[in-house]
Amino acid sequence: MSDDAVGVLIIGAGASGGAFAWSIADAGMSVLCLEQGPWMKQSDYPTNNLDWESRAATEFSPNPNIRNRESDYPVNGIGTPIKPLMFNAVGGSTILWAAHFPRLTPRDFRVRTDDGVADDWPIDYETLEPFFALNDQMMGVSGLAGDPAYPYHEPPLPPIPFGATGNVVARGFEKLGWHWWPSDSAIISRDYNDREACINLGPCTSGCSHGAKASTDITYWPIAERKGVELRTGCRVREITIGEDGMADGVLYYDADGVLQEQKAEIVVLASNGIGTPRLLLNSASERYPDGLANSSGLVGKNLMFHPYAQIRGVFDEPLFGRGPLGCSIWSHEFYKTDRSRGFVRGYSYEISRGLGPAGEALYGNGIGRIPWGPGHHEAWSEIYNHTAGMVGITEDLPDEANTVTLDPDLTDSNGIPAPKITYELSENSHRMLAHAEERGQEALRAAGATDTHSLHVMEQAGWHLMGTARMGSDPKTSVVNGWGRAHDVKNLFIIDGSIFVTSGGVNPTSTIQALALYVADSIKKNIGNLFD
Amino acid sequence: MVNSISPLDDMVFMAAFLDTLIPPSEGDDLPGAGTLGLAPQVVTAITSNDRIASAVSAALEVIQEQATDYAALDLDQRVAIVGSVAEDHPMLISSVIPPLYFAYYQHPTVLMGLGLPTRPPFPGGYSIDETDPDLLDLLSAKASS
Repeated sequence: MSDDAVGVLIIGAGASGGAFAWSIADAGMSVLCLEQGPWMKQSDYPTNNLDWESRAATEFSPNPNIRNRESDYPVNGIGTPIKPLMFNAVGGSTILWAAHFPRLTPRDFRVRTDDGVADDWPIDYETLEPFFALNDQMMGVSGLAGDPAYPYHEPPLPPIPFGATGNVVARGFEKLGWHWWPSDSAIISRDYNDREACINLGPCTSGCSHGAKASTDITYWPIAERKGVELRTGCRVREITIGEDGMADGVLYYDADGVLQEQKAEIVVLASNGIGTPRLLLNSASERYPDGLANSSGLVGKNLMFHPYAQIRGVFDEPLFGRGPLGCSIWSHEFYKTDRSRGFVRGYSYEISRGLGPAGEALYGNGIGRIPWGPGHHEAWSEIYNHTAGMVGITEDLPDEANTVTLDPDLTDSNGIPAPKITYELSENSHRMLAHAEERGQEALRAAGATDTHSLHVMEQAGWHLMGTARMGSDPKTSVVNGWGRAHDVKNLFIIDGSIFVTSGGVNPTSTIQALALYVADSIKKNIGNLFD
Repeated sequence: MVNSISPLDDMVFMAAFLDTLIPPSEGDDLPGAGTLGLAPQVVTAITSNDRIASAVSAALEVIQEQATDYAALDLDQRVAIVGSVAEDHPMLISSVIPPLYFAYYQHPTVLMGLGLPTRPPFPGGYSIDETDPDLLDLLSAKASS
């Protein structure tokens, strides 16, 4: 079956797909988005029920191999120290994210120039700045203007209250004279655009039942659909098809009934992020493009970057009522810039996290040997619950061609499409950075009053950020897309997700991913007359 | 005598085992996990993974071999046996604790005993401390423009 051709076909309705669809809808072309997952219902999220902690760890796990929903595809991550995480639905991984919303800093776009490693981006912070600001408005970002770690910008809403945890840890950073600042958070601290302000449910990472946390199913998509964008759910793209002229001419996809469909398009836009996008490009190999689509550089699927996370937690004598947005209170860029005397290049940020739920604290306490099974269990639990604060050190992951997304020779999804296989090792630079983050993080918590501190060198279930596998650049030999997301090899194919990152920075990537998506959409609109030249 | 049913199907035994891992609190404000009736829920979680079910079942069989009437023992005796068996079967504890803690700390009776609200987070939400104004004053002095 062949549907009528559309002007723009977007693959993926997550962070980037939603932002791009909203913007490109103004271009006067018909726009269709295919999303393999469903629309989510806020009433289905775990915080509607008493068993929210166990549901968050199982059916709403960010790991597709644990969650194992029909709409997911398996990921072979056997042997990797960090497991890839994602969610497949309208809204994508913004359904389960913590909604930290830092931008990459200006220096993050010129890593080669500043530090002699990795590469510079073909664009800079100033180019993206208007799109950062626009995106902040669309998502609804809370924060405080004036963070000296960034060029001046004004979040549209005041910061999320620190809570007892943020207040205590901020005093610790202050005591050490370290940088700290209220986090930019895609969580609304006041009523905003028909959404009600955050009521501190706590576990943002299993979906926000209140809708205060931004996810593109409740921010961009309702407006994009009103503008005329068509969104088809339950549709899994098998491959991008190529015309006789070597241009992309559409896709083959399985619809919600598992029937193979063909959809023609004038422009194809990939918004499937750092694993889904290279998987689809590699699955689109053809006689003309035997190594995968847009892969003349050989770099599709290479340079996979996560952000290795160190976790640091402390136990305090004083009570710290821990609810409130799990991760969003304050951050620190104290160790963000390169200082080679530390033994590594580049740096990391800290983000402060609040306490866990009753079961989560019990498991944490058991894991660090503070809560035993058997006699003494209850007394030990009481010493931990509402008495912990923590932080994560988010370390910059430098690109390495040996870290890859390839196609698994055996594993497939429920439609029989080859699944991705991850090959990834932590570099010595990352290990040193993680160790530094552990040590200094414990120092900060002790300065804040922690009587007992613990750290985890690298969190395994922490591959939230998927970047670098179809990098942008000016040279077709060393990059997959150009400076505005157009594939060097296929001039009507665009990529707008985390896979086009050149370097990772040491902060959460979604703000930058969405700014890039808006920038690419704007570039297409501006160049519509000679788009394929 | 060898028990003819799997320990994971012996709910009296399983209740005693779970009461060993989470016994009642000293003031009896909080019941033991087995007494609370969590055994079926925990067993369901364990048996959802064949590898874990096999490892846990093997360890529990050793406990049953060492104490044919395990449920009749006092807490100290049960703790001693579980601790001894767990040394050779580390998956016994590591596999049972997660589903057990989830089941226990989500139970209304336990939440009530802990003085916590027996409601889900939504729709009521929670209140949290406001930002310390002294901290905001410090930031004002540091802010860039």
